[in-house]
This record gives sequence, C-alpha cells and structure tokens, in this order.
Amino acid sequence: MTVQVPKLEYRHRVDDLLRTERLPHVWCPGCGIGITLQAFLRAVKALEAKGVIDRKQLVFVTGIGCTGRASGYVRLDGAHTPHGRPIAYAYGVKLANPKLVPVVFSGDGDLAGIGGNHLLHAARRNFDMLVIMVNNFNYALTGGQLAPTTPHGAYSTTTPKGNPERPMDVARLVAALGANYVARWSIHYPVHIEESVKRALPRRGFRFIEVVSICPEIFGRHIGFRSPVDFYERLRKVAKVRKPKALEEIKYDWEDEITLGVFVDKDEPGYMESICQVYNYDWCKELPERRWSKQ
Amino acid sequence: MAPRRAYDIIILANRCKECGLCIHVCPKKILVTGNKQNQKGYRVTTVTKPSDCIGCRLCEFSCPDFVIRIEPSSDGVPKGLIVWGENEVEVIKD
Repeated sequence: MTVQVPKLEYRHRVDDLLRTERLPHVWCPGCGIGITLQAFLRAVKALEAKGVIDRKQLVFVTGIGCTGRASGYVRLDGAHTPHGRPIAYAYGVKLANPKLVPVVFSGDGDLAGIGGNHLLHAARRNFDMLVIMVNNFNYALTGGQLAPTTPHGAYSTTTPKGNPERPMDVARLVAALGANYVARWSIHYPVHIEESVKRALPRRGFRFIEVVSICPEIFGRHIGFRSPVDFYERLRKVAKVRKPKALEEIKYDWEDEITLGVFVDKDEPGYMESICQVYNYDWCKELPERRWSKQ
Repeated sequence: MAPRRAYDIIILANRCKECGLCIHVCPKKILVTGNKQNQKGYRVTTVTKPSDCIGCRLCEFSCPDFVIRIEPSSDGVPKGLIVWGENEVEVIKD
C-alpha cells in the first residue's frame, strides 16, 4: 500500500551531521566503516545534547583510504589530507587554535602503515586529539595489498601464498607509548564504540580508539569470507572482550583471539598543558577547562 | 502484564545496499530481503511482522549505510515504513 505523506520527516537519527545529498556512500555493502561513523556521530549528538561539546569546535580530519572518504560525508568542519598525514594536520589545527578539538578518523593502512611515525610520536607527546582507527586488515581502496595489520598467514593481493610477517597490534603499541585513553572494539559492539567516544572526546591528551572492522569485498574475497554475514560471524569468534591485567596479555591473533576492551584510561597532562609550563603564550590562559570525571 | 510497546521501523530505501547485516543481527528475525529494488538495483530490506519488534535498535546500530531507524510508534500501532521517495512511503502492518 502506498500513501502520500508530505509533512512527516523520515530521516535517519544522525542525518543532521551527514551530507545526505552525497548518500549512498561509496563503501561496499557490509563495510564496517559506516557502523563506526554512525557510532561516532551518535556520540557527538549525545555530547552536544549534554552541552559538553559544540559541533563547531570539532575538526574532522581524515587521511587517504576507504575510511578517509568519511570527511566527504560528514557535515563537520574537516580536511581530507595527504596519505598518512591526518595526525600531522591535526597538530596544526590544535596549535593554531587551541579551542578546537581535532578528531582523526582514518584507516589502519593510513595511520599505522604510511603514517606510523606520526602516530607513534603523537602518542608519545600525549598530544590533545582523538584518533579513531578503523582496522579492516588491509589496504582496501587500492585493491587489497598487505598492511601492517594483516594477520599472519592471511592471503592478500601482494601475498598470494600467505603473509609471512607478524601483524602489528596498534592498540597495544599506543598504550605502551603512554596515551591517555586506549580502547579497542569490533563492529559487533556499536554501543561500546559510542560510549568510548563519549568518554574520550571531552578528554585531554592522546585518545585512541581502534575499531576492528570487516572487509568482505576485498579482504574477505582473499580469505574466503565473501559474504558480510560470514565475515561478521568469523570475526565474532575471535573478538573477545576481556580486561587484561598487563599489556602483554592483549592479543591480536586472527586464529586465537583479538582482545577487545578499554586498555588505558587515565588523565595525564596533554601536550598543550606541557607546552604552557615551558612557554607562557597568550592562549595558555584560555585553555579549555578540564572536563574529567571519574564516571 | 504490561502491553508491549509499539515501534515504527523506518527504512530509507534508496540508501540500502543489501548487505544483510540487519537481517542477521535482528533477535526477532522480523527483517527479510524484499523483492522490490531501489535506484541502485539492490533489493531493500523489508519488515514481515512489525508487532514483534522489541526496539533493541541493533539493526539501526549495525546498519553501515544509515538506512534503518527505530522509533516508538507515534500512533501506538507498530508498523514498518519504507521510504522510497519524498512523498512515497510504503506502510507495512501486521
């Protein structure tokens, strides 16, 4: 039955933060980037409703790659930056105007592969930014090449006989470098991603959220999970939420376990406060108030 | 026993890409792949029994394409609303 309904608005919950004229987006059917982006936008809306953050403060910086396309769909100030350099760009944003909150949203190939050095040193400096990394195990936009996060033994376009390398556990690496907030979730836990963003976004220091995603079209084709539902269930088998007692207990193993959870949650002075202890700039008095609470 | 609350399942048809995640995660299994195609040629998810919806919003959260939205029903009647265009809304009731 088709009826005429001219007055009612049928929109998605986060449509006011999306450039709806550009939807449907380019991501493949079943890609987890959309789930992560939706969780992030829901968290922004919730924080805005509480009055914690203003969407005009946010700068949405993305790199190159599948995930990098997100800045074209989000109705926030943002930048689509060169490959691997979204963190370098976010440095500039924060240092030029300390009132802004840079959010880096990018993929594993962009942040851990090409821009790995920027990630290490941003975490080491505890630089005030939120980094959301969508981990889809390969360089998907360019055709499925080997990435630093590709599991050992997995097939990809450039490793047709299996990956001989060990993968990089990015969440554990960033936790070891002393970031203020480190969490890893998979796309099976969209509410947890949202809660993590809610907790990390108003914080100072370096905050890192890794989202283990599925890539049925490119990576799934190589490893035999071509259907989004098959890949989703295969990832659910290994993705386990656990509270590790030490960083060494965090696992990133495609055959055994990918540990999920909040690994680091602390409040240490970020880079902007450290720089104010040394240099007395004018903007040091205007640094945003600390909005930390033991929830 | 209190009566079950009624929910509207709003599906923005032209964004759907037929990945099947919403159908897979629905605990009540009330979503199915439909027969009608959207502008891009994907068969849009449709609703079989809206009164069974418990409003967990898992399908909304797990949809990568910003298609589904679950709202408490405005008129108290559970229904599926498939939005095909500006003024073209298909209403599915039990």
